[in-house]
Amino acid sequence: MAKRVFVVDDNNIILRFVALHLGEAGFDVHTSSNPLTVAMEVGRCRPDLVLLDVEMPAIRGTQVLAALRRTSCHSTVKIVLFSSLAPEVLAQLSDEYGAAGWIRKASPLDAAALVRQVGELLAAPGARTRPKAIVADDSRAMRRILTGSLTNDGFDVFQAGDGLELDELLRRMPGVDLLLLDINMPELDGARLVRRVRAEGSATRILLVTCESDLGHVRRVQSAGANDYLLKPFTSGELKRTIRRVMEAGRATAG
Amino acid sequence: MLPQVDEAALTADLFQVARTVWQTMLRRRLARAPDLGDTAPLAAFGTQMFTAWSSLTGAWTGSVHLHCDRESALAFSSWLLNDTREPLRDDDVADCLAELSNVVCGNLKVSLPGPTHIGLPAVVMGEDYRLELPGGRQLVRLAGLVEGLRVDLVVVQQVEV
Repeated sequence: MAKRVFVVDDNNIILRFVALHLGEAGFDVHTSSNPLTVAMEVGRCRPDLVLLDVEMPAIRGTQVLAALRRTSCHSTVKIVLFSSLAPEVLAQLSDEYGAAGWIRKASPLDAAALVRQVGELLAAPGARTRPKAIVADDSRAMRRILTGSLTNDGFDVFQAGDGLELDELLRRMPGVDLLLLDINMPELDGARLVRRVRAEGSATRILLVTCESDLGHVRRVQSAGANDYLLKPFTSGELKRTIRRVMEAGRATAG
Repeated sequence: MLPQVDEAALTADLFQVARTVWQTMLRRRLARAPDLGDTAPLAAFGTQMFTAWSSLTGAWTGSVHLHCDRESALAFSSWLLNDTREPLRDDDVADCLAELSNVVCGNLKVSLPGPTHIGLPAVVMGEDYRLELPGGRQLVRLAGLVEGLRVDLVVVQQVEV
């Protein structure tokens, strides 16, 4: 059965070129120049891979990708960024937004290379196998310690130093597996943020990491929907065990 | 009327908290240094100093301070980060000391009248400075040693607005 590729690009010339050459290579190709209806069309045609332009006037491809990731039924669709942006920019965007990869639009477009790259990406294992974590703490030292531990445990880690940065990260990066949250950060109402994350239906595990010895305050934030809390000071072993426990509890709930 | 604090009990609690923090986060044993004299002035350390403090406001208002010289600050920071591969910058050291003062303060607050809210830490570094907190009164000061490196911990209560 032919692999189905859904191509999204505001440039109709590129759409026709890609559809022609992928079709000749045996792929079942669907196209759209309207990025605002991608989620609906992905649901309709159920592609094996989405080739997604990044620079579109109506909406950026990365925003489309983020929206697809927030939709639980599309959260595992293999999405590949397709753009003339510099390779290092595409690589960073791909990593940040959880794309399965990227293909650079050469000028002129190279049909053979495009067909080969699409084939390779379709054959590659599914999107991100490394879980994503956010470390949110105003202390750079603590962010460094937590990031080091999480990285050693196989996470891709992103950092936020205050509530505004955390808010921005959560908006840009749906599907975060784990959030380590200091509830005493600037620009942050910890309980409100936890409630908001839960209200959006997110399955993100939330671990409160705090020096706050007033457990009443910690438990009030936890009751908003956090999975657990860890009080500073803690050893590296305590940190690893707590993270493992939170992640396994989350898997048990999902299973 | 200011909330009353048992200074002897607070001293014991401060030492217990600090010892736990150094043992847990730095994997080092903190010992009291009575021979140095808990009232020894800052000038006894030398000229390159770091001071980190975190404040509490609410039912009790004041701050918890951590003073040490550069050698101690560098050692504490590299132990905290568990990274001795490259020289630490002053801002890395300041950040580490800020975190230590914050954790000590956060854990000590249960020994003080509550409820209180812990603020963001601050750090001063330099030579021959003297930290004055207008309206503040030193409640507790103790000197500690970690592998021969000295750290002083101080609790200051705000008695005047």
